[in-house]
Amino acid sequence: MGKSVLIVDDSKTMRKIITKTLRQTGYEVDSITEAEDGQQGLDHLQKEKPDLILCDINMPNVDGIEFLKQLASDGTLKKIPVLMITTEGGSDDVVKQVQDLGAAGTLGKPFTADKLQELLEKVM
Amino acid sequence: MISEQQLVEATQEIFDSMIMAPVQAHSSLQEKVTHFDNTVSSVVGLAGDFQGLVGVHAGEDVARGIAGAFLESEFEEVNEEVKDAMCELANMLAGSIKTSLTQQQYNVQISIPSVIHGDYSMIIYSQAEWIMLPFETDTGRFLVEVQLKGNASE
Repeated sequence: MGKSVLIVDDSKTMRKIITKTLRQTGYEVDSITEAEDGQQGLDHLQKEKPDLILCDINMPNVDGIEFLKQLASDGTLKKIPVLMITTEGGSDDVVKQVQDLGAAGTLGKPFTADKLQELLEKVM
Repeated sequence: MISEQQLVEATQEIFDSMIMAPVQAHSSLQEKVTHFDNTVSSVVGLAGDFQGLVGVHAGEDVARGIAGAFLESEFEEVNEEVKDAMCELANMLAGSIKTSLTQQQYNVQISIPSVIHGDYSMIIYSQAEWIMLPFETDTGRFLVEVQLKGNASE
């Protein structure tokens, strides 16, 4: 049975690319929901609990760090694996910060389907 | 701080891995270009130990071509999707530059990208390190610009 995925990114371009890349990985996806920022993502999580969340860090309104903090404070939501997608993937500080907040992994942009698949195999 | 070679490699990596289109770097411009016509520019601001910007400047046809390659689509005009794709290109370049500066023990923050389309002039920071590199794509040439001014030099 395929999985449900929530993609949180303010860039429509990135949401399309993440969707395309995710489908190239072989990870079986039934449904993908898109949110334009952390607040939209949190609103969606009140209605549905996806199997996986892919979330950008640098966003207007509620950014990826605040989104992670909100998830960490909720006993149910913090169990959902979250992969953080960032242009700052090479920064140890950013990687440590999101790991401390409970992210399952970090994917630096630019990325390939192979990199995403490798990360999915590691955390799922 | 940031070399031309780093900028070339960062741009080529983005085109190789995410845009899936060939790109060829040319020698950096020696004269500052500040005025643009019929151009789409995406800009990310830098703050912290440095102030400055990372910019990508493309003529309308080239911007549509870059967005088309990014999104596997064709665009008849410069719409919001084209602007968003250009912003994402600048965003990834700025992230690469931030990562490099952070590894050099500098503290740098990057802004959310913004975009401008039409005829306009861009600011040049005085006393800033300035790089402007042309890149050739299938649809034409675009420019990648970096301006970095150490806050200690104010």
